[in-house]
Amino acid sequence: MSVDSIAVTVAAIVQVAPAIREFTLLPIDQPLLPFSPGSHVVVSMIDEHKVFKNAYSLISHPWDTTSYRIAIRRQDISRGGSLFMHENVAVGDTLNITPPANMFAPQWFAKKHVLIAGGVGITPFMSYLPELKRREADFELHYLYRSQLTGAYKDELAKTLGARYRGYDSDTGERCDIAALFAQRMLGTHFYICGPESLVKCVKDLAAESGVPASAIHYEAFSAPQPGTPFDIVIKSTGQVIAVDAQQSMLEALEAAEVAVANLCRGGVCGQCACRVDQGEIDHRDSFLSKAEKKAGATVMPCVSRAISKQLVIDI
Amino acid sequence: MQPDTFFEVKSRPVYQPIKKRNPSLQHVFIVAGEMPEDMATTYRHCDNTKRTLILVSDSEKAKKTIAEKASLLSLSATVYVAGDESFIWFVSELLTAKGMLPEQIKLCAPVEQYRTVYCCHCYHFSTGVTHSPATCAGCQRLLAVTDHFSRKSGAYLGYQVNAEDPADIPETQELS
Repeated sequence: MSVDSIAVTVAAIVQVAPAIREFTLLPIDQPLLPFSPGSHVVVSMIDEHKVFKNAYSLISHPWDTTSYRIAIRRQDISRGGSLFMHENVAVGDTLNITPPANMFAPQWFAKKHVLIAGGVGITPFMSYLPELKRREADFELHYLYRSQLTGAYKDELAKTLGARYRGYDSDTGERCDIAALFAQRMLGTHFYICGPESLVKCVKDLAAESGVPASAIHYEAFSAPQPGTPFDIVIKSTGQVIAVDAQQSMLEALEAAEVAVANLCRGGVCGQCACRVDQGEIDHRDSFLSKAEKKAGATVMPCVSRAISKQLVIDI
Repeated sequence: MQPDTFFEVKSRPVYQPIKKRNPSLQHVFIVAGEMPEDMATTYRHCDNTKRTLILVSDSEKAKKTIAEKASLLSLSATVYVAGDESFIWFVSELLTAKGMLPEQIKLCAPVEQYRTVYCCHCYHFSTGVTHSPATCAGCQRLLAVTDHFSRKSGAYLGYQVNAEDPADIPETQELS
């Protein structure tokens, strides 16, 4: 039997950096599952007006089934999910989460793992570390943060990882020489990046310039759906017309209209929510479809992508 | 009955002409036999301070050389391999075990059309096979040579063609 939703209680909320809060979630009516390093859960947040569903990396020990922990950065300019978690969620509240899913697992065949975290992008690596240590894997963590906003867990990471840890606080002028991270690396080194898109792009570009093969670079970009121009979805089979407002994703609009679309990451990565497009021009914003598929315009990832045309007819 | 005609076999490698991997800072050419033209062109296009040519006589020599020189390969290296099909995949496996990724290993189309065939009955590898059915050099069974290719072993799958009826022997075909 598959489990779509797990009810959890918020057992603790801790401010772990000026803009980051950590939430401890306890199970209510069913045990939690162990998970693989790099996994995330999708948290449903029910506001008066809408339902937010955001994916957050699990930062607890992958084997710990007594509780899950997530850490969320407050994003004042966003569609509201993180703000809701920071302002409306209190200890004792009930939330619904999905079972863990993983789009960012470590490459266990790698001979060396270089982890590059930007700000709250430290979160998926928190669940990597126990398993990397248990396997006695060769790894190092480079943590880029701004101490006035982020930098969660930096002190404990520095203490427990020793020489395998390097922190760079840009608020005190410390910069990471990313190009130098690629120099003198042995074969079998893999790089993992989690952070803002600008960091991911910078690391990818510098890696390419250094001749590092693209398949040695692994990343998880925060790609929450970005707002856009309102448009209408037309369901080809029923003719139903669903309006998508500027702040809402296509997937959220479909869900609000009770049109079920299978989905997993809600960040344009996993490909689960793919819908066939019959008519209309797509504004592709996902990382799943290839360039050719995007050009063909026959498939849309409604979790992040939108329409350029006023209408998008989808064949579901 | 020819079961292979019912579905498309996707495991048979398709070789593209090799090209220089431009961002790479180290280009290593491993050749058993003659260097094919596309590799020679690629070799000429590489800066002579960044290229190395390794000539070997067989797989065992390649294994020894790679064991000795793997520590000199950088993360940005590209290795170009030419030889017979079983050789190039053997070298590819060795390099993969050292941590090289698929885009760093460029295999030249084998010049010869002969195949190494893995007998699924006695597990023997017969080399230099040009026709199907072919007699297994290990157990003497008559094997249908399929297009199912194993990159791990650099060989095509062979199975006994006349197991049900020893007299039912299909016409011999030249392998392409």
